[in-house]
Amino acid sequence: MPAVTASARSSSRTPTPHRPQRAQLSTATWAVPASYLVITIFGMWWIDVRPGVVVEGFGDIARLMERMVPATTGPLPPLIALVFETLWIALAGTGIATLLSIPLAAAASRSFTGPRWVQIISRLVIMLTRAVPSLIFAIIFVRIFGLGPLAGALAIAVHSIGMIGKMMTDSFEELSPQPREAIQATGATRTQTFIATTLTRALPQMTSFVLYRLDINIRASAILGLVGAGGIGVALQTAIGSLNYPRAAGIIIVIILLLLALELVSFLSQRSLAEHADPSASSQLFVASRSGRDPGWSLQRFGRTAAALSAIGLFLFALSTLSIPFDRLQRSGANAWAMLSGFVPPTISTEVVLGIFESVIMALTATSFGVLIGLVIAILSTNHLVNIPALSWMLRTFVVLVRGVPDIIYALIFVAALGLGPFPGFLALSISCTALAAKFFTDALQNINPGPRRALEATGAGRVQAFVSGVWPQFVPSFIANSLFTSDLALRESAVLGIVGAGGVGFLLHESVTSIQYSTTAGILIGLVIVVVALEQVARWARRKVL
Amino acid sequence: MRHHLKPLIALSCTALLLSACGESPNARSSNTGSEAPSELVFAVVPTDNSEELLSSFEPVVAAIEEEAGIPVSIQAVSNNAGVIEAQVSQRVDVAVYGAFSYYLASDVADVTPIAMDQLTPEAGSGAVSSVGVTIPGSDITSLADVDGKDVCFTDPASTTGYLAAAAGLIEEGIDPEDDINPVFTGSHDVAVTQMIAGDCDIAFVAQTFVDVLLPARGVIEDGDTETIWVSDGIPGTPMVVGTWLPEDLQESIRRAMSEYNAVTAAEAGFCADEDQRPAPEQWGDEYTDAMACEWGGTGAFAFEPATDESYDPIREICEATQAEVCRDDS
Repeated sequence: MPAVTASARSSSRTPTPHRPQRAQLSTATWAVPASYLVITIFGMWWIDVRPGVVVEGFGDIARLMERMVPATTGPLPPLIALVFETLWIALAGTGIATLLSIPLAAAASRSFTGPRWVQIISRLVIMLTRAVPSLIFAIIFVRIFGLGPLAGALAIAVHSIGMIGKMMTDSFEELSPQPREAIQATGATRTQTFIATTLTRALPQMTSFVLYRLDINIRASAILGLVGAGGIGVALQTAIGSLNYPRAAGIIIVIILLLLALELVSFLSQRSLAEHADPSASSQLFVASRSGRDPGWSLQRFGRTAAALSAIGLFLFALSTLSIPFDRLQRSGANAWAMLSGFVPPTISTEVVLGIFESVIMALTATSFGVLIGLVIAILSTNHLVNIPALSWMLRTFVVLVRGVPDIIYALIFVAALGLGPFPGFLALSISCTALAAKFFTDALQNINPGPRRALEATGAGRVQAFVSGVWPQFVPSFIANSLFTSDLALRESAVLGIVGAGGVGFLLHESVTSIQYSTTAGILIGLVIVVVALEQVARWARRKVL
Repeated sequence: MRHHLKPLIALSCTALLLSACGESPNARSSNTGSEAPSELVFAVVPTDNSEELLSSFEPVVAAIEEEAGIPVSIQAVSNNAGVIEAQVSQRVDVAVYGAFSYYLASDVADVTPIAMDQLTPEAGSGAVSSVGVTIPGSDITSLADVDGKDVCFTDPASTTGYLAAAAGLIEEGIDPEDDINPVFTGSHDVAVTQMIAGDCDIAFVAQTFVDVLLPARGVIEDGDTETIWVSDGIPGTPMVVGTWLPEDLQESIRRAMSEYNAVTAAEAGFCADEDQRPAPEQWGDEYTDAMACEWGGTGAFAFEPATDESYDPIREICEATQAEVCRDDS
């Protein structure tokens, strides 16, 4: 990770709406990268990373890839039906999560002015839903709501609150406080202030990570296979489980096409919402009109409203596809309670502690690699340093391709090349971290206020100078927060490591669930919660230092 | 930046020192199957009725180390495809997984079964069956009544949770894809609990779940379910070795498996005293009061010899069902 060498000295004499950056380097900007470096060195030793071994396995990788072509989808109509089923479940789950996250994130953010206990509870809810893997929610909801898309959508919704809520909290906190204070001074209520200042300004970022979470949820649909919700996950798992790789490849291509369409929607929505950079983008969300009272409907605003309405329409339709079995609810309360009581007392064995330790080491090491490569990809695909639209599109497509391939496929490829153990698991994890980080950083760079950079360029500064002084300082908070968050996600993705026998906590969790040892499951969950809370504390501290 | 340099350097040095202090716990000797290996890689996949996978296989690994004279590293893996691919590239020497996984692996990897689970001293006792269970008083009393009903299976690639039942339905003239409404629940316990909760009319799962495991874990009680159909025996969990291993090494693994059973392994000291358990009643009077090791994930009594022919029943089921998962991938 590059240390920040240039501190921003925005020598603006005139007051700007943006706080001048601190001239000194805060502890967090070097301490976080330094600890990552140390853990990575240890992790590479622990995992026994040896690049030479990968080269030896090239022949085996090629032989495995040969068995994946030619890709076949089988009969298309049923597959398309499955794709839509998956899409509706993911849409409904993401939508529910978004609606629940807005009040939670508002209450959890540092600028919340209400009672302290509301803030603490909101933070807890966001943290817990993030720490518990969606697999666990799926098991619980199946007991309560029965098999079907409803259990799947709810499992997705609850788990997504953790990410959407967290990222919303972050983006609310990053906003400058002046407008909020100004509106408050007029005597507006807390809700009015929030909607008029915070919500509207955070909208571009919110849209980008809600859409991204939708992308994650579509890929996570393999989880839905567990709850008999159908969807494309079952078809994919069946294809992989029976070594029918051509069919698996066909299904993956269909998923990737869906994700590419989503990426396009995401790009267009960002361009029309973000008040910035692209010459073609509108520079303001709300254009001043001739009369003071009339909000002024420009073409862009009309488009935005239409898009928002159609998104709401899609969400409502997706909700309508979930059938709520009211008669089941009464019958299953006792059943679900009996299952939940199996979670106490939690048992934490040394095996679990070791597993979590190994998972954490691997997640952090994979993050370091992912963040470095992801940063390069992000810088190349935004127009701050390199302004080649074609390259940016190529990279965006490439990242979607990489993300569209399920982790289990990477794990299989590396297992064929390296045998079992932590190393192939770590490589699969690094790839997913790279894709995650690239996506987060690209979005963060897109949303950066172009003012300082333009000002610097106007003085004749070169691209690199303008980037280092006008873009990077603004990017640091989200860079550090997103790096830590990538680790956080990587920890949960470590379930993939069970596939390749990398130990870690993934296999233990899987085994405890399949053999109904719920007390062990609870022990693992407690361990995961502790780690996620610790990471969260570090992230909070770092943000306090750099914001 | 300068005053931060000291702690940074100190930290890096600590990490480097740690890394220099010896071999990683995960270091592997990189050998691929050409010459005599210096280490055997043993992989286990959880099967329907396995528990505490790693610790229960330790005595088995100890017996193999004893006979083969080389170290064996054991890996628990949650997915059969991972192990099969590692066998294709000759990076897993011995594997224990479900019977259907062997059927798949035999098409793509150079492997052969040498032994299979034997739950009691009686030969063939490792065989598993698939059962169809309903709630008591259901109007389904035989397979023929399943026509047009909602049916819970576990997984399309599970022998006991789908394939055997599908073959049974086909014999009755019922198409398992079009004549019923199949629901795949992902696991045996969920299939049974959701059937009881009313999500489907009948569930097909491995017999041990209904008779032993779920009652023992307190998930179901006597009288919760009624068994209306039992399949023919399906061969038990195979132990599969790579045929690329030198003959004498393969032979020594076979010997380790035939020479010991759970009781003699305890006598030979392959497991510590605190890991031993009294022999269960099913093993008969001969073993009353004897102490036994955990002998594999299913608590088996021994491993009996097995060959490729032992797994013909799976091929017959695949012939009958022509299920999508049975496709020949060569």
